Amino acid sequence: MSCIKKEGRSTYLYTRGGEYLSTILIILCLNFFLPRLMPGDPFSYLTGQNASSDLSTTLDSKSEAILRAYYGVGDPLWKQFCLYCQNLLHGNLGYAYYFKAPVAQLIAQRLPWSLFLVVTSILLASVIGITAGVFSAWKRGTVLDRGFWIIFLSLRSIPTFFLGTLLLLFLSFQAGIFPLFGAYSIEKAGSTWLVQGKDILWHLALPVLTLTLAEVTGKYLLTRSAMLDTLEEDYIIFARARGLAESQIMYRHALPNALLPVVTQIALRLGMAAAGMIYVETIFGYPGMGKLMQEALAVRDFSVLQGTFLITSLLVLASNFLLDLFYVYLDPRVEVR
Amino acid sequence: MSRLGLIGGTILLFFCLLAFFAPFLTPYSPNNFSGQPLEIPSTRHLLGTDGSGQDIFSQLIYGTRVSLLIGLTVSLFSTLFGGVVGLLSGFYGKWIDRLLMRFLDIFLTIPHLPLMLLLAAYFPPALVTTIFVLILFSWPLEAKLVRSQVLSLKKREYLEAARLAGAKDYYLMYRYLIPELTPLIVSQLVLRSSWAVLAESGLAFLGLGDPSIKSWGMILKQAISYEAIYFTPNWQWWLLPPGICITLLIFAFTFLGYALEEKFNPTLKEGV
Amino acid sequence: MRKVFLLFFLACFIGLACLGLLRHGATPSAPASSGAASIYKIAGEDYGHPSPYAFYPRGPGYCRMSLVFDTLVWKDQKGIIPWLSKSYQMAAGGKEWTFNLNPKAKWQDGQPLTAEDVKFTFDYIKQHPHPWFSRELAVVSKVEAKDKDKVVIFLKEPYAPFLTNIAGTIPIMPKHIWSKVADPLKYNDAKAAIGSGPFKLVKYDKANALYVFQANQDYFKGKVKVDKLIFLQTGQPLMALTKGDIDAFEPNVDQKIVLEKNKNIKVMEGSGFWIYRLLFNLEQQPWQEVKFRQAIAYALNLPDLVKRAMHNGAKTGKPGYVSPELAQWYNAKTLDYPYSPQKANEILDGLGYKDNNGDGIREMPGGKKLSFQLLTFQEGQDGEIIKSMLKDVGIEIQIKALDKGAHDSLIADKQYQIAINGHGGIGGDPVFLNQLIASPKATQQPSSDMFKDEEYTRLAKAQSKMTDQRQRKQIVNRMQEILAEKLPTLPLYYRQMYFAYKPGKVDGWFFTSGGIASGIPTELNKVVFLKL
Repeated sequence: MSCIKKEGRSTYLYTRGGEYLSTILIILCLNFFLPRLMPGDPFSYLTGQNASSDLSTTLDSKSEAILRAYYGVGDPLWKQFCLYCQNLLHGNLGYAYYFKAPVAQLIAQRLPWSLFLVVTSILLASVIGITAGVFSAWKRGTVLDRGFWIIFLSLRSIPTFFLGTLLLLFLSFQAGIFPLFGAYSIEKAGSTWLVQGKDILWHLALPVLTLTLAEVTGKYLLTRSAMLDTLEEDYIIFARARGLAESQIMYRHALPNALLPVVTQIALRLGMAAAGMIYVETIFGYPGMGKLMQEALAVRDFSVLQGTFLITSLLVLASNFLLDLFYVYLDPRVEVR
Repeated sequence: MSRLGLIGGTILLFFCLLAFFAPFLTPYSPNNFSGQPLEIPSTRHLLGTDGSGQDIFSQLIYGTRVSLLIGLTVSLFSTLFGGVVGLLSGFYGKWIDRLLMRFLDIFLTIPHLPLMLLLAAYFPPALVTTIFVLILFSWPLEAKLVRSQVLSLKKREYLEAARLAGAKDYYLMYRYLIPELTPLIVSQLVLRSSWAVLAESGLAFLGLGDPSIKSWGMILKQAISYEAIYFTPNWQWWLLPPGICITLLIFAFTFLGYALEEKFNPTLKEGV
Repeated sequence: MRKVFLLFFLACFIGLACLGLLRHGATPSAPASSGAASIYKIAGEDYGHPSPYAFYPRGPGYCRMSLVFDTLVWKDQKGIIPWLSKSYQMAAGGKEWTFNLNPKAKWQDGQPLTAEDVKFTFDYIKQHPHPWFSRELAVVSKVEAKDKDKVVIFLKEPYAPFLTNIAGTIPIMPKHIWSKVADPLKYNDAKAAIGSGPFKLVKYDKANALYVFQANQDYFKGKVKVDKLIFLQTGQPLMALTKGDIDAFEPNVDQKIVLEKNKNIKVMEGSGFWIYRLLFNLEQQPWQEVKFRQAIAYALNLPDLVKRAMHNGAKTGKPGYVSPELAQWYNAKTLDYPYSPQKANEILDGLGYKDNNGDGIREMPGGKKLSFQLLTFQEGQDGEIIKSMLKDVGIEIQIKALDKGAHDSLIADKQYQIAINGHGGIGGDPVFLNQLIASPKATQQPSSDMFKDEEYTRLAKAQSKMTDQRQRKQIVNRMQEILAEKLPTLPLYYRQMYFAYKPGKVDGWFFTSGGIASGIPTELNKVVFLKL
């Protein structure tokens, strides 16, 4: 019995792994072909080279040489693609001529902050959303359920960047409770871990609050819907017939079963959180990948835009895959597609 | 539920009227430099003026047109195109369907906004760019929804019966499936509009909008670009109104959409 | 199930931690000062490592570098003064410049600064092209170190901007360090920032745009007023200055308006030597017609444009191109085009451009509408404002707003009918007037201009060689007259720049007249930190 199960698991993982690889390949192709499909000289898009009277954006010969070598300008297409993949395997994502640094380095600097922000927010949003969703499903049809539903949907009607702006305006500028920007105060750089830690959390508060509020409705709706599906299953009816308490049924029978599709969906939609991340970091000046994307957009630095897109996609895929692994070993009923 | 839908519909109607009667409701054209920069609200400028002296109230009213235009155009094209793809895919099944599902999976996993930014960065900022990018990123989900519906409809017996009687594919689709799909399409039109308005304002906020067309998102962006916005009282009439308008319109589309969805498909559990 | 609870507690913990820090917000962060050491903090961006080959080729980048490296001459509040040199003489009609160096000058690592270092610097830059300096040095033929403290610079021909653009710009580099450096563009060693100047670089953190300078207490020119000078990045400089977290920064006009209301803060205004102007495609009709360009000038209400687009943070443009803030060279007696839609209409009627079909837009005699595409930037409302002003005289404009990269690309390729462009470099020596001439690769900054005028070209060539100030002023005056008459480009406005600081620690800030070095507008002149 267990042998069959294990085989089923491996096959599942291999199949899923294959799917992920094909997704990665498609992303790579997208990244590679997009600039080359655009009208005009792809090299100018890649490097933003132009004669400007503001010397700061003129490509100096050093940067130009680096970029030409990196993109293999002049080589046939297939060779360029091989060069591209080769560079990626070495962690070379190109050179950001405006920021005057390798793209990989820029991303490496910013990524930890984004992860910190996004992971905390997703966790918080999931916990709150799931709890509320279960509760809503339990009290289906009542005023409480209806009230929750209206509140959460109304919350989602507020654009993330507007919500963040309001919080910044009222809680930071007017009330002075939270900092105005950034992930930490430079003055505290030399202080103790405790002081620095508190400072970082203090700076994290509003961004996390905004992103959590933006993400929570999705989790709530997913959970509520999954719970309602689960509650129609036979074993629930049976549990009720046995006389189990409602709360027991909710939390010990329905929720664990509803949780699988919910968490799968949450993982699947991690990519959507990237949007919230961009808005939140921009408004609060939080030095993460989102802010980097917005800065790169302002100067049309395509190397950075492509690099961040690639990394964000890879991260989402990686977390999906991890979650797959996690569940395969947890739940023996996982289906092999 | 239907009460909420009614509220949503009323708000939507209100905005439609605003958009339609815009020239009569506003004292100035939104591109008219009618006042001094950064004026406070007065009888001549109900919401004051922005940084270059244009009337904010006029911009807000005309912005309704932009938001509705974008919402409806995007939702129309994406729902129709996605609907057709979903219908064909669900109906014929086999490798077409597998391909679509594969594509959808990939599409859903890839983060959208970074890719949207990348795409939009290549094109000059214009209304057409925004609409194009939004349609591009919304039709797959519409296709998925329609496909699911088609799959469940395919199991109905009357379809089999009709097919055995010799009905051609397009006849089946036209006579049976499309009428069944219409409620879904209608509610999706509304819900997708809600998404489009939100997405457009976000893109405008990030700087991808057409700077000469003052959508609500663009007004917000210009307000925030004014460096002293948090240090002067101007945020009250420059920052808040467009944000509130966006929120209200999305609210209206959302609740109307869910109400329609529930009305046409009472078995759905999304609504209350 | 247990996992859910675990997650829940984790979330609560984080939430509580955040809430618990509400009290933290009340305590202001204490400035990191110890004992009697005085620290001066200025907010700013990253402008590259402050060494001769690594600073970003933008004004502020040079200024930071100038804190560490000295030049032969410099500028103070009144004008050019000897700096590394004690005195200097000109000979051979301007082809020979002798500098007597100050024997007290020395490098921050203790070595003395001699004429050998000066000669070495010029030779080195000739051998290793520099993105900024190489262009100016083309006129230098050779440099000789006559003595330990005497150096002579020979020019191929007299060069009027020599003192400001070469002697006052080229940072003298230590021979004993750079003679070993084969590739200066890649040289990131700490020794790259060893100069002779009043400040030593202690720390440069690019990611945080953090510069920490320590005063050079052995500085040969005098005592340095502060112990530490720090540049750092802050997302909200206005708040930071108000709260006292920083001592100074350069606000834009909106921030300046807010700061002016604060009695504890002093705000200064100076010229940004940055021009915003209309470019006409002189290779197309109807832009080739002078009267048409003049009509456009009359149609634009420049003071209104400045008010709406810049909130009065700029000075109205003058048709002679040179800004009135460059008082030494500005010619007030040129033609002017005060706002008059009536005059504009008259001229347009006179040219035969009438609105024949009543749609509000004039047509050219051939029937073609006066409808053009205005190439502009994505930021700013200038395009919109100009569009509405030209509409009043029957000219239709469509706005094409692009990001800076795409915009500059089109300008360089001359792919526009009418365009808005903005750039600096209009301070310092009026040799910048020569850039308006149409020539393929005349200067480092490829000319996007297409002005072909015999007299102007002749005068331009003459002025750069003219060392006699009086004669030169006459030539420059005439050039401005021609520009005002022919209007190959229409200056819209000159941006001002501002500086806000808390008085007390360092006072006496000033905007260097004409800009430092080759005309960089700034308040960051090292003179302000010195007790000379």
